[in-house]
Amino acid sequence: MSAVIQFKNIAFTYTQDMPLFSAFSLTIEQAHITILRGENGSGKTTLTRLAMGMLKPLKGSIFLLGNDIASMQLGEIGQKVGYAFQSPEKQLFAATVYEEMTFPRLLLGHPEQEVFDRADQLLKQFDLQAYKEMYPRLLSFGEKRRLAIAAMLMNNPSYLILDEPTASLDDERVEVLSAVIEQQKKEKRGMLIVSHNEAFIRRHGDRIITLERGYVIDDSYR
Amino acid sequence: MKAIVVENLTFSHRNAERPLFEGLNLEIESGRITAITGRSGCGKTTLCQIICGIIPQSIKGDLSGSVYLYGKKTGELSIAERGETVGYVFQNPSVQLFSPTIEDELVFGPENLCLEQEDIKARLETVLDQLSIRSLLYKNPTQLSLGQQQLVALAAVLMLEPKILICDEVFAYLDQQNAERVKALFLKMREMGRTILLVSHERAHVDIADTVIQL
Ligand SMILES: Nc1ncnc2c1ncn2[C@@H]1O[C@H](COP(=O)(O)OP(=O)(O)OP(=O)(O)O)[C@@H](O)[C@H]1O
Ligand SMILES: Nc1ncnc2c1ncn2[C@@H]1O[C@H](COP(=O)(O)OP(=O)(O)OP(=O)(O)O)[C@@H](O)[C@H]1O
Ligand SMILES: [Mg+2]
Ligand SMILES: [Mg+2]
Repeated sequence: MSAVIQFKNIAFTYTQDMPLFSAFSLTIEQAHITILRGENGSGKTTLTRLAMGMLKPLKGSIFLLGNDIASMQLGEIGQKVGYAFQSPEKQLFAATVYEEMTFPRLLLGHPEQEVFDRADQLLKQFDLQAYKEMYPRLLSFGEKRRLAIAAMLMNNPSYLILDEPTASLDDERVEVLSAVIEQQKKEKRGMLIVSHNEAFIRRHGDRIITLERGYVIDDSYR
Repeated sequence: MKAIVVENLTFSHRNAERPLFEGLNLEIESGRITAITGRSGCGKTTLCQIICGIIPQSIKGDLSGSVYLYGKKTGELSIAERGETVGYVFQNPSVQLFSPTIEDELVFGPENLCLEQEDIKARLETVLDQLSIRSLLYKNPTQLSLGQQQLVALAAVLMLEPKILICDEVFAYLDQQNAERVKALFLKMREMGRTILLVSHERAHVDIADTVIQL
């Protein structure tokens, strides 16, 4: 099975005090839906940021689809892997919802009609069509979360990392997200999902990794 | 006794096409835990903001009708009175935290209400234990994980000991153990006669509520 993310003997610390990760190794397979769980502050978000190259390890190396991320540009990583932040706000910067969806693709020179069609389809799927012209910061929290996920999907990334995607979503919208996840899985696009949501974990997880203070304390396959 | 009475409330956000609420009436009992649920976008956060006065004070829109907190109209409460009556924990904890350290964050509110230093110290000790966040005391809010920020945002409001506590999706980022800890605390607060309004999507977390209002 091919690896999508490999942490090889990494060390990481934010401050001078206790290191958060030391001699940490973990391989995540491309085809799986891998769940990362663990108590608040155990290092889940940090691990996903390391994988995206947003944080650099002090020691060791991280491989993404076989490439050492130390030699990759952030943009290059972003093209391969879609990332949904734990706080959706961090990801929203455009003046309107529609621009949020279409701007990055248009900037990369993709054909307009194709971009608009995909944006319309995703906005419909996530029940956001009515908000096309709205300033994203005014959306309700769950609307922001849905927009952040929909905007990430515009890129058609081959792998997804979602940090607590169900936080503040209502049941109906968790269902929409679940359908998207199942569709991605059918297309052989795996993902790494950070979650506390038990029902969601049970439903989607092929592999469930539990983190505690920077260590894997449980790792089970289904 | 009613802690909150919402009377004939109509509200539209600036630029919104339709009103979010039209003639909404609600009563919330004192000393109980009341949950508010409803689809994303139905107006739960907006209602919280109206109840605690953020709307119309900081967020504008078309508002009519009245909100009474323990019999007094929200607009007629002084800032100090309002702080003692109602406390609101934001849905997004990071926007609520602004001080250089968690300690500063926690004592800021009570110092603004001009409480005695001794009293503030005692409250601080209590919330640090209740939420098990002592180890975070000298950190900067930006150095916390989101779940830790959520606990600190709750702690900052608890420091004010408001009669009515309003929590907007306070369990969203909490792990199991912290969620249980917070629920146990809410049950204890209810025993002491405090009023709690919980906004939550997750049924598993509104199980402590005496009443559930579907918006
Ligand atoms: N300034 C504004 N102009 C127009 N519409 C707005 C404005 N602010 C909020 N809204 C809309 O008002 C509706 C209610 O928002 P609110 O944040 O109260 O919902 P909510 O029930 O808390 O949702 P969630 O569960 O997603 O947090 C949303 O559809 C939102 O897009
Ligand atoms: N920018 C930062 N500077 C210093 N310390 C940080 C920073 N960000 C996080 N930390 C600390 O690193 C640890 C791991 O944080 P991380 O955000 O990875 O946790 P998490 O598992 O995602 O938690 P949560 O479930 O609350 O989101 C925590 O103890 C946190 O306080
Ligand atoms: Mg996190
Ligand atoms: Mg809300």
